[in-house]
Amino acid sequence: MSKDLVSAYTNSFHAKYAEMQLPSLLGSDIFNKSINSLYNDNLQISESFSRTLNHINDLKIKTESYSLVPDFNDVSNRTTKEILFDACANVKILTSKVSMHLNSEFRNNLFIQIDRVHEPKSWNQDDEPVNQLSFNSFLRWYLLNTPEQGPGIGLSPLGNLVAAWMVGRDRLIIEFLPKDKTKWLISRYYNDEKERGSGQTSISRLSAVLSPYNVDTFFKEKD
Amino acid sequence: MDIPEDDNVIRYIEYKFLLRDDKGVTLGLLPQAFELRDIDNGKLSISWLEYCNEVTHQKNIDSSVKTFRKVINNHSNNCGYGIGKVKTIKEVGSLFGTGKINIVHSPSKKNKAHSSIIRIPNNDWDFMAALAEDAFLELILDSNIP
Repeated sequence: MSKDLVSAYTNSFHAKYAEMQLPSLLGSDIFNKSINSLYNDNLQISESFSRTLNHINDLKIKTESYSLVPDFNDVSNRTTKEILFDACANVKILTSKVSMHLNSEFRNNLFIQIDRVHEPKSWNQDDEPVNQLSFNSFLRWYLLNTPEQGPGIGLSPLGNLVAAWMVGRDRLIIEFLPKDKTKWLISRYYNDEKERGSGQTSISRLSAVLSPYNVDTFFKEKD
Repeated sequence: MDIPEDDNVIRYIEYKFLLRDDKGVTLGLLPQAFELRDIDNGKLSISWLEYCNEVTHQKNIDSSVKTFRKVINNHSNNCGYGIGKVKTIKEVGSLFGTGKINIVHSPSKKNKAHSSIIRIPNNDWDFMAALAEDAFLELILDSNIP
């Protein structure tokens, strides 16, 4: 399967197909080599796709080479309010690096939600603010999947970003872990009987893993 | 002391653990609302609703919420509360067989109704989801309590 996809990447006639399959290869050596060969061969992929690839790759490289995560051990001179402000600011800066690929309404809504879950007045001192590496995983997943319907945003006690969608009684919850990992949980009703599935996988495999559950219903924009 | 199976318990849910849509409308509880932290010592902290001994279920809720407002540091009215029947919680727990979970009264200085869910699977994602979806079936928003 992977070799077929690599061929697709190196064949300009199949560049569109490669775009569609991108999530399954993201982050792999095959992916990186294929992208390089695309550039080296000067193949004809759309300019917008090319820009998106550059920014997604850039997002990964930047956060691997340095981290904006505040040093939470260094609390001597910082108040909780400052720590929370810094954590929010860091993920907003990260988002700004790819803001050209994000719907402005989604971006504004995301920032509002991030601020709300970091409300200093209600902050539990034992919890961690949003982990930038987790947020990075979320952003990379979002850029590759671009759901029409934005998620409700929550946080785990360890600061992992939690994205949630609910349609009727059905719900999809994804906790984004550092380094492109996720934990997912889906509950769906079929003939009034609940079926629940859960697991852990990478952002590149998530769409494939969730495909039996017809998750598109969560991602379609609500009327 | 075990809490009677027909009684209810209430858990304080921080804003970030409430399941919301992208517009901020609260729809339910996230599994993360039941994630154990190191300071929890393997017990989920709850409060025994009927301990308040008020005349109605709603008045027990009102009384419990007033206690939470007093005892929780950084309490804010954007939080919520999950309420579940003891029997249902135990039934849900029995599906995740790492030992029989129990719900016991464990009063604290500040909250005489304080109780704990004990012998729970440690941060089992499915168990946490089952608590959120199938056990704590009643959701109360702090802003709706006078």
